[in-house]
This record gives sequence, structure tokens and C-alpha cells, in this order.
Amino acid sequence: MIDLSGMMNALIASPMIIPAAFAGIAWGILGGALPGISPSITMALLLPFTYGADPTAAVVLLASTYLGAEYGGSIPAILIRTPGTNSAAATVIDGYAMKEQGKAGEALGISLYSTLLGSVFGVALLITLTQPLAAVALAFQPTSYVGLGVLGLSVIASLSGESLIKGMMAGLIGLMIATIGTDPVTGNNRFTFDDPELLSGIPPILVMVGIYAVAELFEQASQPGWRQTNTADAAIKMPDALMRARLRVSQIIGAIIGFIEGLTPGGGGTIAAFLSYNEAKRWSKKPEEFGHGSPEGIAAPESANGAVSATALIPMMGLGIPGSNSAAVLLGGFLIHGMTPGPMLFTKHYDVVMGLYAGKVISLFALLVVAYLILRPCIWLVNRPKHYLMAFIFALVLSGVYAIHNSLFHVGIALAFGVIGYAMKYYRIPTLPMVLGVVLGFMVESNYRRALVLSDGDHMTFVEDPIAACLLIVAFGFILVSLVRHFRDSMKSDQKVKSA
Amino acid sequence: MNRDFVAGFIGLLIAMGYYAMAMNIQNSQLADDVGPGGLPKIYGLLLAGFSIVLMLRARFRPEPAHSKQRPVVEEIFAAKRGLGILAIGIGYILAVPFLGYPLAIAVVIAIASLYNGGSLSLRMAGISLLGAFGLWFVFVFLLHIGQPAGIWPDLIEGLRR
Repeated sequence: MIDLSGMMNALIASPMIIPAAFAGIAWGILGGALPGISPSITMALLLPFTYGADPTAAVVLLASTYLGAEYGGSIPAILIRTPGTNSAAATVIDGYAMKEQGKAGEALGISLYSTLLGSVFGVALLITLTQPLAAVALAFQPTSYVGLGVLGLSVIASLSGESLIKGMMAGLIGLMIATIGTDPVTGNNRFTFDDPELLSGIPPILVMVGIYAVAELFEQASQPGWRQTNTADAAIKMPDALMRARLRVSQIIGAIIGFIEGLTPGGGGTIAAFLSYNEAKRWSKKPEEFGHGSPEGIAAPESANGAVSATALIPMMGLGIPGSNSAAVLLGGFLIHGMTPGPMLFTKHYDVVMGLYAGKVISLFALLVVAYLILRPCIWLVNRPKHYLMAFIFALVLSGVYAIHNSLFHVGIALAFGVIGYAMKYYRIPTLPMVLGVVLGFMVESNYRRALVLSDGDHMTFVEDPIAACLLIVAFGFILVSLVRHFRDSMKSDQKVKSA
Repeated sequence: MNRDFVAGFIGLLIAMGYYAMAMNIQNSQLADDVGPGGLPKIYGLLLAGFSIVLMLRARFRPEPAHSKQRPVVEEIFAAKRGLGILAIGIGYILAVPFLGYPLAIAVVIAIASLYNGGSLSLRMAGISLLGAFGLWFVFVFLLHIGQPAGIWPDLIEGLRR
């Protein structure tokens, strides 16, 4: 139930909530837009500043930063083909394609509008259903995570584009990359070549920045027409009534998937973004436009990201379980001020909870205002002469990648993935399945093996856990439908080639 | 020999190399039934399988009409130009421990800009310095993320003594 008077009282008692919401959104967009700076790092950088602050304003600042960062990741994804955050990887595909068609303003408008709608949906659920929904997080076991991971990987089949075999190969290479580092169960080193820098594996953001941003820079430099200037439209353009109607289904899909993934500890925005992209394509009236600048291809992952940024707080607040790094930083923000998230939070610190809810609502307005202010100069920047733009993007990528672990070795890895991305483009191998493999590989392997340890090696454990069983059935359903569709399309194109 | 065949061949080489390394992963006494090399071996075998299928398909199936390649000379020229950016990146990795972040990143902006068709001018130098300052301001000053300082702190310390 919504306690509006409680929220108003919290707002009156802590007026700093309003500037905290605006400041959090602005800081979050800045951090999210910088490749290499994840939402959790953006939030963690603020923690020292919250020590002396009013507790309610402090948690609002951190929660708004989370939303701002999730949105901020889409700005470079659309404008310069560089996902600022992991969850913006799905936005790159159609966002950058629209920008290349001179529709950058429209793409940014769709992204902002969809993030807002997803966030409104997520905040509404956060405010009304936190206590009952938090229990879902407790039901998740290693077997359920395997189901979740396989469901995420099932998307590979439909993200493979023209060749299912190449998509599967790319997905497998992604899974292989995810095995680099310390083994999750035994602690043995795998594929590290005795290099301590590889012990913790290769962060997925390195792979994304490499195969998207660096490879794009290689590609742009190698194009015969590379001296051309950009033709992106100069202002942000919010979707009109016709476009809003077109986006509706994809936004609903994104919001629902984002809500579910937000509740799931470890699910996170990346899986939600890819799953919703896949489902939006499946339900779209124009699926052929996906990958070539489909507005729905931006709307679905962005509304999922918006919903996740709110619903990820449900298990953290209701049970004290941080489902993601960002939620863990927010939990740290609560602990700094002597508040322990969990069921007692709602009785012991009711005023802070109400203040946080009020702050989340204000942050939605703040997102609209700050994004409008920030996007115009961003669009102006990408319309500068191309040689300056490309040089600056390269400098930004080098700086951002170094910032992940203060490592020049990582800069080298990102450049190497740039070469791999360039080669994949040359051989027409889809890159998204590889990204998905890298993101989900560790989660699937570690939980698969943990589940088998707990069940003494009995694979029936995946069927006996109802959540895992449901997720696996849905995943195999997805794969089956994608395979049937793929072979049907493949036969049609074969017939065309023969008749030609 | 079309691109798919080459892609399949490269995939097969990766699979073989990866599988060979997976075979050499040491097992621990703490190991579970699957073990640290269990899934990697499966991944390697699957990749090898898909690579072989891709090679066979490329051998016996006509290439789609839209996949016509550019002339070889054009491809080589394009790849060379792309590799130039890579060389600038490698140069940055080698130079930044000595030059320090602000100077090295300014040089990267200037060289990458020149490489991509810009002309050497005071304006370009100004933009490179301004860009470097902007990045330093955001990463080092605002976000407190350390970037390589180069030889300058030691040099200044030495001069002071």
C-alpha cells in the first residue's frame, strides 16, 4: 500500500532529498557514460561523501546514482558504439544503427522515454510490494541460477543473425573467455599463463569496449569514406504518439523482464536487457528491422534497465540480500548510517524508507530534467569533425579501460578484443552471442558445479528445483522456437539463391 | 576458399589450442565431479564441432549473393588503416609510464586526429591539450581514479633535492 503522507512527511523532514536526487542522477549519468566506470563504482565513489550527510538524503543520493548510471550507459552506446555499462550492450545494436542513419536524437529520446517508463513501473512495485516480493529472493538456489543462466544463453540462438552456427561459435568463444582465471570451486588457475593479472579473469566490460568501441574505431579508420563528417540530428527528440504506440509492447516486455530480473539476486540488468531485446524482437511486427536501427530494439532493453534499477532494491531492502554490486554499495550506505536492511528496516527506520521512496519518485523527474540538459551537449560533441571525434573516443576508451583496475595490461586486452571484433565483423560472425557468453559463463559454471556438489553429482537436482525446472523449460522452448524459425528462414534463402 | 571456410578453420584452431590447454589443467583434491577442466573440455569439443560444420557448409553450399567481397587490394589497404589505430594504442601503452597520463593522452588525441585526416595546426594542438585536460579533470580530479603519473614526480623530487 502506498503511504503518501509518510512520503510527504519524510520529504518535509529531510528537504535535502530533492537536491540529493538531482545530484545522484547527474553523477550517475556521468559515471555510467564513461566506459569502464560501472554503476557500482560510480556509487562507491560517493560513499565517503555520505558519512556526514542526513541518512535519508544519503541513501537517496546512492539510489538515484544507480538509476542515473543505468541510463547513462546508453548515451555512449548510442552515440559512439561504446556501452558505458554492461547492461547497455544490447542498446548498442539498434541505438548506434539509428545514429548512423542520422537519428541520434530520436534514439536518445526513445532511450530516455523507455528508461523512464521502466523506472516508473519499477518504482511503483518497489513502493507497493517490497515486503511480499522480497521473499522471492530467498527461493533462489544454485540450481535456479543455472536455470537463469541457461535462459540467458538461450537468447544466443535468436541473436545469431544469418548464421546459427557462427552464433553458436561466438557464444562458445564467450564461454571460453569466461573460464579464464581462478576456478570458482577449486581455486585452480585456468588459462592464466601464470600471469597474475589474469587470475581474476577478464572483466566483461573489457570485451564489450574492445569488440564494439575499439573495433568500430578500426572499422571507421579503414573505411574509404572516413573523412566524412557525422550527420546526427542536433536535438533530442522524444517519441511522438505513433512511435509511442509502436514501442508499447517492447516496453511492457522490457519492464516485466526487468522487474523479474531485479528481484533475482545476481540476475541484473545485463540478462534483463538481452532477454527483453530477444522477446521484443519475437513479438515485434517488424522483427526484420532489429539490428538495423529498430526503435523497439532500444526501448526493450532500456525499459528493462529502468525497471531493474528500482526492483533490485526489493531483495536488498526487504531481506538485506544485495543482488548486485550496486545494491551492495547501497546496502553499505545504509550500514554506514547504522541501519540494517531487512524486514526490521520497515519498522525501525520507516521514515528513511519513506524518504527513499519519495527520493526515487523525485529522481524520475530529475532524470528527465538532467538528461535533457546533458544530451544536447553530448549530441553537439558527436557532431564535431570526425577526426577529432574519433581521436577523443579513442582517448576516452584508453582512459576508461585503465580505470577499471588501474592496469595497462587491461588496456592491451581491450585493444586485442578490438582486433578480434574487427576480425569477427570481417568474417560476419555476430558479436552479441560472444558478449552473452562472457557475461553469463562464470555464473552458469560456478552455480552448475555448486549445485552438483550439493546434490552429490545428481543432475536430477535441476529438475527437482521448481524454479530451475521452469526456467530450463522456458529456455529450451526459446531455443526450439528460434531453431525452427532459423531453419525455415535458411531454407527460404537457399531457395532464393538457387532460383537466382 | 570463402570467408566462412577460413572462419571455420580459425575456430577449429582455437578449439584445438583451448582443448589442449584444458587437458593440462591440474586437478585438485578439492575438485568436484566436473572438475576445473570439465566444462572447458566440453566447450572446446563443441567449438571444434561447429567449426567443422561451418567449414563443410562453406565447402558445399553456395555463398549468398550479398556476401561478395571487396577486391583484395582494397581489403589489405582497409586492414592496414585499421591497424594504424592499434599501433597508436600500443604506443600509448608503451609511452604512458614515462610521459604520464595528461601528456600521453594529449599526444594520442593529436596523433589519432592526424591519422584520421586532421591537419597539423595550432587549433589541433589546442584541442588535443583541452581534450587531455578534460579527461584528466573527469578521471583524476573528479573521480579520483589514479592514472600513470610518468617520470615527472621523480624528476621534480630529484630537482628539489
